[in-house]
Amino acid sequence: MPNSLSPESLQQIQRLDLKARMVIRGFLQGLHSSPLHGFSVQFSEHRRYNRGDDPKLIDWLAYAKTDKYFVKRFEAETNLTGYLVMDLSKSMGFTQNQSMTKFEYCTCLAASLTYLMTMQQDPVGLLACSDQVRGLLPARSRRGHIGEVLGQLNQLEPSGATDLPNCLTQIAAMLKHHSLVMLLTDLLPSSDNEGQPEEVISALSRLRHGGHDVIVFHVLDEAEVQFPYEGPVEFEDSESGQTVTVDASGLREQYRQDLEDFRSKYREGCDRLRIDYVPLDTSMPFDKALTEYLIQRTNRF
Amino acid sequence: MNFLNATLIFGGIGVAIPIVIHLLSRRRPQRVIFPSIGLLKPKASLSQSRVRIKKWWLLALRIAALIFLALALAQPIIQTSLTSTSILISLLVLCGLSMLLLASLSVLRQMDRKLILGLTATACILLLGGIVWGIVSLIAGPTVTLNQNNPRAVVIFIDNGPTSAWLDQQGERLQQMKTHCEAFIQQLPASSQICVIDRATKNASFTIDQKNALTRIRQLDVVQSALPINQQLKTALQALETSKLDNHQILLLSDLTKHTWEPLLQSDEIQLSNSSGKVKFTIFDLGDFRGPNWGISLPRLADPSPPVGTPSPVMVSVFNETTDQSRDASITAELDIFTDQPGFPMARNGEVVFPKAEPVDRKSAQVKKGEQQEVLLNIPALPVGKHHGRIRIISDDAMPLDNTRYFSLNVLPPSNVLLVSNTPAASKVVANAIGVSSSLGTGSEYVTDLISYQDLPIVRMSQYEVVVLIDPPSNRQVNGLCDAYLKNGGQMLVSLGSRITMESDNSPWLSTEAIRWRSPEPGTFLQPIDIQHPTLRTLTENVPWGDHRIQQYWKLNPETSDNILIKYAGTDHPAVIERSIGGPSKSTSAQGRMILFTTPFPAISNDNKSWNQLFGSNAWPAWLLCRQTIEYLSQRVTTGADAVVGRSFAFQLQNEKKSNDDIQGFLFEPELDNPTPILGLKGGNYLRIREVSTAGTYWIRGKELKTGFSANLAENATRSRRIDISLLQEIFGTEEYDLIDNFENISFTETANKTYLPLHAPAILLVSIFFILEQIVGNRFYRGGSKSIDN
Repeated sequence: MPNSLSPESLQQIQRLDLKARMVIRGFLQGLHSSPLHGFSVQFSEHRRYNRGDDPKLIDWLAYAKTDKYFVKRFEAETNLTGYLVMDLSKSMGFTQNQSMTKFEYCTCLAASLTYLMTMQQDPVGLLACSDQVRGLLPARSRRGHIGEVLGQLNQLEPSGATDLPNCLTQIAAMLKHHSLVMLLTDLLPSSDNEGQPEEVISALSRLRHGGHDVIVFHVLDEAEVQFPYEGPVEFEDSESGQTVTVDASGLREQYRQDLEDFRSKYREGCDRLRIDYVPLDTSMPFDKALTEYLIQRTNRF
Repeated sequence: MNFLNATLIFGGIGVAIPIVIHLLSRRRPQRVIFPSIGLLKPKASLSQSRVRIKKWWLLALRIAALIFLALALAQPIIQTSLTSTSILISLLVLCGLSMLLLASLSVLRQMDRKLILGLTATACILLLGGIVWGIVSLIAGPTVTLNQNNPRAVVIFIDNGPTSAWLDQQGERLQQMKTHCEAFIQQLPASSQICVIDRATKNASFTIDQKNALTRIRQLDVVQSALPINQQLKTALQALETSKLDNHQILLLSDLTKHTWEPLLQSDEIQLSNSSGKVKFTIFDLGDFRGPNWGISLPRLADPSPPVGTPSPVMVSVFNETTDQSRDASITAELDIFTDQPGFPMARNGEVVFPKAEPVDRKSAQVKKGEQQEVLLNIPALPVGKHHGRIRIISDDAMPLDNTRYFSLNVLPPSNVLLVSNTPAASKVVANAIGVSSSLGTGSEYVTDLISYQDLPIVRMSQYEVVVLIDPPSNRQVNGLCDAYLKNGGQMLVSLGSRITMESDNSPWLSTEAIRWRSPEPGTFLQPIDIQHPTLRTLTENVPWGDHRIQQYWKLNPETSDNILIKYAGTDHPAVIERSIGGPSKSTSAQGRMILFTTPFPAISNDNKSWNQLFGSNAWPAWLLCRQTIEYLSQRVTTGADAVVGRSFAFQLQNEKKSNDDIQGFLFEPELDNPTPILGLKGGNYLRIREVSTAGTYWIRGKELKTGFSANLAENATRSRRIDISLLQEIFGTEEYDLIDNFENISFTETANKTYLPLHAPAILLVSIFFILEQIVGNRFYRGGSKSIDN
């Protein structure tokens, strides 16, 4: 399973729907023993009737037996409304080994999640973040919707800078119902002043306060994680165009440490807000991301 | 400063390589678009400083490594007088480098700018100071001159000992050495000083020119009486000390035999006094001995003074020392006796004609390789007088000197011995002991007369060479006779027994107070003291004296002049005493001599039986003691009859009439064309030869003089066993000598200015250090960058 779900093998498939189907089929095959329960309509427990409860829910049979009012409780049967929030910053278009950019990875992941949620009859919507939120598709669960989502995903291209905190604040304001917001981003600040972790976490907290569940898929390129450069290298920022010349070999350890600190900062912030933080890089198979999604759903119900 | 391989200094041009690399690496680094630049920014400036510092250090290390590599290959040398200066300069440079290192670290740690500047300035001052000082001292200091064509003082030492007579396929070894020497002399720079010494040279001096040296070498011959090699090496060193030339060399050509070199290894002063280190030893090894060699050991005569008319056996060992092929040899040994021709040897027409040798016996033996075999040859009955002979091998081999051995023997007329005893049986025991030869039916060495003490006064004692008194009584007449006999040079053997009484009226010849002494059971036994004495020559080892117990004896107080030959074991009491009476200074010419046994000898009379069991069962020690004592007293023992080549030798001259006039005679030495006159010697005097030079028969002829002696080479002198070459290090030190087996390998390295200090090793060490540091600092600096960076 991990081989068929690896980014390298999926990159050979051109059509996004096939990619998504491949991911999900392979993923479900690997999860046949997983405890998938909580979706069906079934009795859960009795609870004493309290004032304000709907009298329609009173179990009259129980009243006949016990002469007390009990309310029947059922397993929830509501659908999960999911929103895929794609980061459109230029830095997402980076790849070092020319196989799959961060954005392509995110697109593939988003397509897979769409496919999976649609199979579960869950409505999926698509949002994109650049300097402001672009609402691309509303959340729907009909079968044809999947094609629309995939079509939109295919058309998206990373360009320019992203004001992620601002976008997240806007999303928090936009969404009316409790939803699952799946943020696919590299979380890299667009400049020295904007997009710092504190601001992003603050924006995420607004989403949480809005009653939404959030999964942050923090996607980085393999080269960003491993830093495989040697000798003196001049690095140019993909968004701001700033350059820095460093001795890459000498700086590698320090960079890795700084990156780990950067990730830790987000992990701690997300843990505090009970947000799932999934650090990924483009060399990792997709099942890790999907597992995170399913765990999230299980916790919700 | 100078260089042994000056051209290799141009290797220093190689420093251009790191400089070019450095310049190329200065191009703009590869540009990479990277999204996470925000994480790199804070470290960027520090990283750039580090890169810059590392680059400079790398460049410096690479340049230094290449410069020092070129220097090391060029083998620089400086005067030793500059050693302390160079150490100081090195310390200065080291301090400068340390300061520079500290400055670099300060930059990396972003320390105070003032501190960095201070450290850098101090480092620059120290480095500059060190470099300037170094250049000035090298330019102004003494220079090392190298010129291989400088004239040199050379001692050519040819080891022409007996083994140089060895013949192999290339000819005689001495001849090979001469050829090598001639070739060597041709190679020497003009106006060199040459001194030729060999194993016989006592005073060495430099020859006038090369021709003279060549002539001297051609005249050399095999020396049988070779001087010790350490003495000759010292002579060589002393000769070199007289030279004013700077370069000194000793060329030693030797076959490295054990006989020659082992005494030097065993001596205390094993290291030669080459303290100045100015002398270069070059040892030319002639290599292993190849070819067949068989020889004979020194002859062992059964009796060097046999009686008249008695054949005498002579024993030799025949050995096979063949080295190159495994085969047994049938070796034939022949015994020749030189004929007693009247008038021979004689000098005729400037040559000496020696007596002819006639073969008298011949034996063959099959001897395996590496083994030896005993061969017994018979000397026929000879008339009275001195006779000379030789034993030789009848075949040719590689080493001719061990094929012939010489011997001399002195045929004596029988000696008269008077045995006096009141017990005839005791006299017979002694007579039998000394008359073994006669009992076997051959000619006897002794004529014995047996009498009792009553008959002693009527016998003319002076006609007997030896008088034996067995258990003498205390009789004034007997005492007087004996005293007179001894004072006239008589030889007497006395064994004291129960009949004598040691009282004050004893004779002057036995003027000793004594006590009759009983030894506690089981009794004592004889313990030889003077083991060198002729009477004890075969009785010193493995003799069961303890089996022959002695219960009673006379405890004497010996006189100071007495020589105690044997004592009683466990006591200080003398058992056998030798006493000289009278002497040559007195009017009576000869010296009387008495050997006194303090216990009856033999004790077989009823009175004496309880005294000892010396002549009990298995009494061969007592028989031998008795025989050898009488042999000694009758002067039939000849000791040191044969001379050894290379050692001094003293030979007692006895003219036939024993007159006191000066001897008029000549010594005819073997291989000498002129006899040597004997001057200023009288009969009985010793002819002393300081050093016997050649093996052979030495004839002494003159008026009333007809004698001589034989000389042989020591057995080991001709053996071909060689020393282990590594032992030469113990003699010459590890670096002071070259061992060569071919003159193409000879080195003419300068020794005069060995005051220079080679810097090759320190330069190599520095190169290694610089390369290791370069690897550490380099840290794959120029490697793999483009491979991993893809735009």
